[in-house]
Amino acid sequence: MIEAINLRKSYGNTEVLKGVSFQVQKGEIYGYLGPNGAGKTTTLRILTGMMKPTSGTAKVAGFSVTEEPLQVKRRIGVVPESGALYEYLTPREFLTFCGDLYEIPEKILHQRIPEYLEFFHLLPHIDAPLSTFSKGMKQKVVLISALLHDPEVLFLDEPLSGLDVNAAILVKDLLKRLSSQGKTIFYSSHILEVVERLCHRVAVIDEGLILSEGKMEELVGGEKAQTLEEVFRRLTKEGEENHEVKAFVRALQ
Amino acid sequence: MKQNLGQLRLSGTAWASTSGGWWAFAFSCFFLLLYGILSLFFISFSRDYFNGLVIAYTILFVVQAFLILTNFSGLVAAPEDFDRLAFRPISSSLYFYVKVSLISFFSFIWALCFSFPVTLWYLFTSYPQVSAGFLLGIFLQTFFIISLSMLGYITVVKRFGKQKFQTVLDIFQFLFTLALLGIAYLQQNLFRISAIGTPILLQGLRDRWWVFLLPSSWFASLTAFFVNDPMVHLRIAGLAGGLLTFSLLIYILTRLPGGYLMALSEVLKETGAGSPRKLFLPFQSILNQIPWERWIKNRTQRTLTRFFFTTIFREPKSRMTLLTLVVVSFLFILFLSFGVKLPEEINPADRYLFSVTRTLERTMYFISIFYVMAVAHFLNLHLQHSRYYPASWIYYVVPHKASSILACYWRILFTLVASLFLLLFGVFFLRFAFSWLMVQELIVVFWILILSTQLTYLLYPRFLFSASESEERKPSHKLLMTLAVPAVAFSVTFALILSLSKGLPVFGLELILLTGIGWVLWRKMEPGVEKRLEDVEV
Repeated sequence: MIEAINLRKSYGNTEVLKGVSFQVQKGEIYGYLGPNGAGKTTTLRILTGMMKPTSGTAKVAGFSVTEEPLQVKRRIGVVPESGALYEYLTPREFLTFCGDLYEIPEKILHQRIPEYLEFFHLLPHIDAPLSTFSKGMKQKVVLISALLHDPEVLFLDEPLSGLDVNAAILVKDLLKRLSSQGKTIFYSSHILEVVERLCHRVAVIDEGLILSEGKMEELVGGEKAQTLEEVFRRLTKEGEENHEVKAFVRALQ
Repeated sequence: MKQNLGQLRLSGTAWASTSGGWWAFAFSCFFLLLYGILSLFFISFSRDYFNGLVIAYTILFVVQAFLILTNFSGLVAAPEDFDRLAFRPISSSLYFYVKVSLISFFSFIWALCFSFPVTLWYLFTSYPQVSAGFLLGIFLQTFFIISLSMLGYITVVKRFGKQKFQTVLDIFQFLFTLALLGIAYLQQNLFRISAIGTPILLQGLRDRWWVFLLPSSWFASLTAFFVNDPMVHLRIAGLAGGLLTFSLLIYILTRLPGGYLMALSEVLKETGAGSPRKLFLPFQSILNQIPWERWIKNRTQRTLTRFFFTTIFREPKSRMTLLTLVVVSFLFILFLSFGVKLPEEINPADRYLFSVTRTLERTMYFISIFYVMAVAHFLNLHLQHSRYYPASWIYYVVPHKASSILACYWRILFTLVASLFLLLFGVFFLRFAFSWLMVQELIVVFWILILSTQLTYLLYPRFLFSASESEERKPSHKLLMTLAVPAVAFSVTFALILSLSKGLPVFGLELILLTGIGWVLWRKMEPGVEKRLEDVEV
């Protein structure tokens, strides 16, 4: 359902992606892990058609992201890291706007919006400006906007950000259910515990390269580690980080 | 010096750190000389400095208004839309098309508001044909520019392809942006530029609303003092009055949108009228009555258009801008139109032709400036992420945080370079649109501005730091008094001379305002009050 082949992206002389390749099957939840600046968001932007790669190809839902970006965009739902809302709109207006862009039939759209808001306990706030919402409430609206058109593939960048415990559990359950219904989910996050529990397969990226990829057991077994966190730390230069921490603490003293 | 160099290195100006800023100083001297030679050359042709000054000042204000008008996400390609819309199924050309259409629509409405009082003026002074010609001119001008822009865009994209077009656009954008930033920079610093204004404004008073009223009174006073022509006085009086209102509204618009809205909201809540949002409901209802949605067959296009319309009426900054500009444009042109009078000596047979020509010229003048600025600003925002975007290096070149003479030289250099671009832009535009006379006036005006900037910067370099820096060396109460009192006395004297000699109500109004300013200054300078004001001011 998602296929990236040798993706490269450069900003001037800086190469952010240095040949990233992976495949995600239908119904799979694919965890995409990496430290800050590893190239996660760049990959996500390329796959969602927001940005063109310097070289390499990518297909989502059978369409090339560079050749047929609009076809791709019609079939995906995206939860970006931040800034996805127009805060002067109400949830009803914002979701209607999003639904209209995906050309959801109006009857279905007007039926679906209250249903989804109800699921996330936001129905009482349907006509309140989004500017008055808390961070968690806003994140719920962003999630709804990504799900509204029933996409085949979901791209999530830190989707649990700002959510309270109950809402996070709700979303995790929802993602599992969507996956069992055949939706493909590309899950980019820093929260290793969630990725560990939720994702079928995981890729660890650092400095524009995928360092390791596979099912959870393969990853942990391959690195002779106990947890995903341990794998992550080893792959992303744990020793250097420890050294940096020590140096920083020394500087503080 | 070491610290200063360090700051500049941090700002990325390695060149400055190695050359010690003397190159900057040398450059500024060179440009000063250049401006001097240029202006001497043009002064020998034109002696109408003050008229030119007023024209330039008007241009600056109009430009400011245009920048405000186009500087909100409702009308232009907003960079923040990228994060919200780029992954949704909207093609960039559709986005561009809808945005440009809306810009054109609002430009047209705004141009209409702008010219409506003048049309009425002609209508009531028994020139109905001129009114018709005037309106026709607006229509033709608007549609001509819209069509040309759109056709130009499509042709260039088809001919050269998007990649090359992007590069060409980037270069143009760079030049336009530089010119615009130069205008904005000069406009913002217009109050600093005057050697009289500088001491007052740099004492932490520049954010006060009445500061915006000072220049207009000076212009009016100076003009009346030097130009012995009742018609010019009348026009200047109208202009000054317009500028007074305009300045005040610009101030409200630019300095107080949040606070103003909040205050308005509180008042409306107190009176039971509801939120200010309700004020816009009638406008929205009127628009909703127009069956425009039926005209747009493409659903995505319709959705985007509806959405951008909503934005305009919903986003606080947008709606305040919209409302204020409509009001301001009416007032502004109402004042300007008092100066529209045909010379008596013209043959009655030629009067009609003369009126039409002059009116169309005036219309074209304002609308063209508007379009050039709107399009430039649109391109600026549209391509903000391009590598040519100069915003980043402007911060390097103008290190506001750097507290040194070096920084001062950098500012001089920047002002000069920006002014040069502005000048080239102005010459190019005015030469082809109008006449050499206007170009000459513009050059003279900018020479005056630049010269006074240089003098001010060189005489008072330590006053030229930002508010946060001036906090460190807060001037004494005595110094403030020494500098401010002569400045106010200067303005009041000229206003008095003007009021007594002409007896025009507008100068009386200015006198009252200046008295008010004097009173505020006096209050400000009172040590106890000063402390209290500092406590409450942000």
